[in-house]
Amino acid sequence: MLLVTLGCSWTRGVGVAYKKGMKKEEYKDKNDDDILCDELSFRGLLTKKWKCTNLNFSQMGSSNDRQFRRATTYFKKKPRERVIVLWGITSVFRHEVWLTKNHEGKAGYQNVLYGHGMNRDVNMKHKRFDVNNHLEWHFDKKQKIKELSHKMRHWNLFFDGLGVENYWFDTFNHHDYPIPIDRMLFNDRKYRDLMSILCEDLEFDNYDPDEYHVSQFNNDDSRRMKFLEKKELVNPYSYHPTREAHARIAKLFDEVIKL
Amino acid sequence: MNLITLGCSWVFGIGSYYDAENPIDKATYKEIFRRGSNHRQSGGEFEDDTCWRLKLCNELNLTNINISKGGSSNQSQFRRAIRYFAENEMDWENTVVLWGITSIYRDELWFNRKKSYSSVSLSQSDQDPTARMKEREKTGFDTYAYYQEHFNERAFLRALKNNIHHWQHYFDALGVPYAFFETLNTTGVIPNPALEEDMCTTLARRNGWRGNKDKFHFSDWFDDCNRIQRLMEVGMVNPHSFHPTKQGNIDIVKFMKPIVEKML
Repeated sequence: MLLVTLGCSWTRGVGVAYKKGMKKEEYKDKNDDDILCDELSFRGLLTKKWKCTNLNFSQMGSSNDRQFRRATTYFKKKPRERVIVLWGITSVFRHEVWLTKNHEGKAGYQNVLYGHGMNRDVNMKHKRFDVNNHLEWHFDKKQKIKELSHKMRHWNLFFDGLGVENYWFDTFNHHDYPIPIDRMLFNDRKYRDLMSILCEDLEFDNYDPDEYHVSQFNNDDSRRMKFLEKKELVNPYSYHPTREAHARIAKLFDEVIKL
Repeated sequence: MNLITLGCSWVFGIGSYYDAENPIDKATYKEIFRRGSNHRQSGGEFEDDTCWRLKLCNELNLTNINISKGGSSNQSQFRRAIRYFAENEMDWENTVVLWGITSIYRDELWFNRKKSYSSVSLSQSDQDPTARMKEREKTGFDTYAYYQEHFNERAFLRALKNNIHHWQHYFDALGVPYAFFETLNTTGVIPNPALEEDMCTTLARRNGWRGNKDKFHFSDWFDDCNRIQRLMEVGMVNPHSFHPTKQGNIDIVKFMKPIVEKML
């Protein structure tokens, strides 16, 4: 069996390297370590539990756009073995642009992250991307969520045709999709995203859906994040789930996807 | 049986109301274009059967589900298809798809002021700083900067190829017959294209164009290549926007009909 995972840093496992008391510099060195992420992230734990192989496309800082592009390139024909796809929807304040030349003179696709208007200078200097202009003229959150729902339906139908078993989840924000999405996990929860579920399971009851977390190494946009930091389920540097949080998340998936 | 059509103005039928045997001046043409395109898009009172996709549907007794749009980019067509299929109950068993791939020198962007997407033509990007400033003030977008900083022909072609592949796999998985063709230029981006050469070249060859190589046609209301020049001379495209005339559309039906018949 093959487990294909798509998503952002939370799915990749960024942060599982953190140990209590670890210095920031040491954490920075290890936070995106392949071996640690593959082993201790929820996808790594599920891979072990389900005795399968994991093909991972999720990535630190990834936008939803990039994940759709990756899937477009990868999924082509009916697989010969059983394939399960776990696909995490990330912040809508991100997308992918082609850069003819970045600050190092290289060309290629780049994710641009602009939640709460952050990263203005870096985006401009390194990616020739004007955050203020984009937010003022070309960004509409509601529209982005609507498009996501269309894309998810598109992929559901395609996966049905390929005989691939797929599941969606909201990663750190509950999105109000305007149309129902089949195989969206944790729909029975009040707020279905992983971050809210971690909070809810610890009886956190101070959720405000307007507090949209953007996961750009910040903890100031959501009380849920501050709560999880206190509970030591996210690290104090990049605010990504710790290995304990990943174990909890793996359990959540294992309970709903009954293999 | 349904025929879904996707593509740019050449598929939509912009200009099909221009009769080369009874020509109209540019102002009148523009007025009809301005008045008609929105209505015709929604199948309103201005919808006529002069465009080839509707002629084809009439001849083959098909219902046309049209997603194509004048000025549309390929990105726009991919998005519009995803939206249409997500929002509508599709009868895939009784559907065939005809998809015209347009110029890669186009993209689309969401515009908050319009509260909608709009396609942008990268071939019209203006280097003049005053013009660029005006454009940015008006639309919040600088086409020239975008073209310089975020466009690469090879990368866009590769992305386009991937997307076409994806849609072909998608229709294969659903068991839906489809035909993809290039509309304005032959770039080789489609595996197994329904037309050996693009629609514009095919039409030009049928009407006496004997060239081997030609400039890129952007379909931006400019007479920018020899094929278009020839087609204009013989009344197959109009002299204002250079889109197929009523006569051009009749000729297009002739070579598109076997392609659709093969799918039925």
